[in-house]
Amino acid sequence: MHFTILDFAFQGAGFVGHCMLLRVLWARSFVRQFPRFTAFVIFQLVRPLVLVPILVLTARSTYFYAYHVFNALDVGFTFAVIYGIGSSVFRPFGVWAPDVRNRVLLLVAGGVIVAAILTAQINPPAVLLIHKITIKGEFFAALLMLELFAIILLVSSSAGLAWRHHVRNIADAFAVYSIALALVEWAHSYYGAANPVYAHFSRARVVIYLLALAYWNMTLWMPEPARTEVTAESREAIFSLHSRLIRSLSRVREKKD
Amino acid sequence: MAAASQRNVSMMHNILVSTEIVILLGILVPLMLRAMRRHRKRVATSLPELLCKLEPLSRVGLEAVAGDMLEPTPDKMDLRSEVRLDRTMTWNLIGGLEGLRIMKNNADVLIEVAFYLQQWSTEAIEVTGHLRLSAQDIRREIRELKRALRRNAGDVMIPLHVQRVAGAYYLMTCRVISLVEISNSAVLPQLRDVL
Repeated sequence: MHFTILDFAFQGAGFVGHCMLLRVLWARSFVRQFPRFTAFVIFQLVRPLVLVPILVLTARSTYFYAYHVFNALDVGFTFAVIYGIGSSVFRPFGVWAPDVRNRVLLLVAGGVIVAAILTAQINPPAVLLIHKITIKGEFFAALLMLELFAIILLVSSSAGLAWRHHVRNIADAFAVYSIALALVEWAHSYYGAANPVYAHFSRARVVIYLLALAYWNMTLWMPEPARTEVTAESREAIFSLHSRLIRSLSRVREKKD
Repeated sequence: MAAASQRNVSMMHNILVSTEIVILLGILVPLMLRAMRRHRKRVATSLPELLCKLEPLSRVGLEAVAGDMLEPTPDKMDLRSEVRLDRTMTWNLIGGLEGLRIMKNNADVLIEVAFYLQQWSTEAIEVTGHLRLSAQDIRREIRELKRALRRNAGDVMIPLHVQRVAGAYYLMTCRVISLVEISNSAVLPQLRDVL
């Protein structure tokens, strides 16, 4: 892919966005609460600091290998964040919600199989084997990421599991980004890296990621909504429901006697 | 000729794979967006709004059927006993299909109530966990019961499922009231007076 001024502008915007996000995490004391997400943000800060000098100062092949190593690390950090989100939802106190454990594990296994089958079928238009392997690897990772977010959102919704407010904010933006990433990697596998269509898809993905970054900055800066107390009216409603039930039972007992 | 044929095969293969990916995205993306919308709606719903969705169900019939399962006594289990509920009585006491529909609806609402209560009360997490599990049990038992009814299965399984649904539902409603008692101790003396 040929880098343009727009690509460098995106890199700059991403760097600034990640700096701001790290500051938000630090200022709001979220570093301990969200260690994996913090590590992900720090990695995203370090990445351009390493890759841009390599691109400018070294050979293209060196940049190619460095880029894909960092991509692999990016995938690792992303899956660590997904694991953290899943843990927060499905095992908030270190113990699995018993009704979801088997379901989640089965769906994850199924997701891995589906992603593997689709990855095996794609035939990227690349000359070198190493290019084909990296495209397939990225495609597999993107599909799996999308499936994992789908599993977390769907199972938690169906089971009625509560979310921490900020965990949900992180997850929602990541989920939307994973949709864009899956589409981009499909385009990558179909058109190849040299095709301009792939370049457009890739830039669209970057824009979506920058929007997610802005969303995280905004929502994590804002305090969590105050927990709403049960109002006197609500308490009264629940109490009167119980009273009505008890009175009905007493009346029928009298009739039986 | 051979090259053109190979290109066609390659193109067909790409179209097939792309179709599979589009189908996968077409299934996952709407489901994900729906789950996100549902979560936002849940967070915005108040407790009175949730309680309005509960439909009344005869507590008397429910206790009678649930009691058979939760408090087995010799006279309830003896086939010759007059106290023992037969299959028709069990079905009528829970209100038949309409009763099942109400229990399923109320189980869904009580999952929402558990979600709401967990948002504001950290001590409610264990009890809301029980609540959720009970509601899931009810949903599962109702599914099994409907399957048994559709299969027109023998009499043996249907009353069993009916009892399990009634037992799970009864326990769940008791837990909701207990949860309010735990979280709102001000109403506890009044509840003791009523009981």
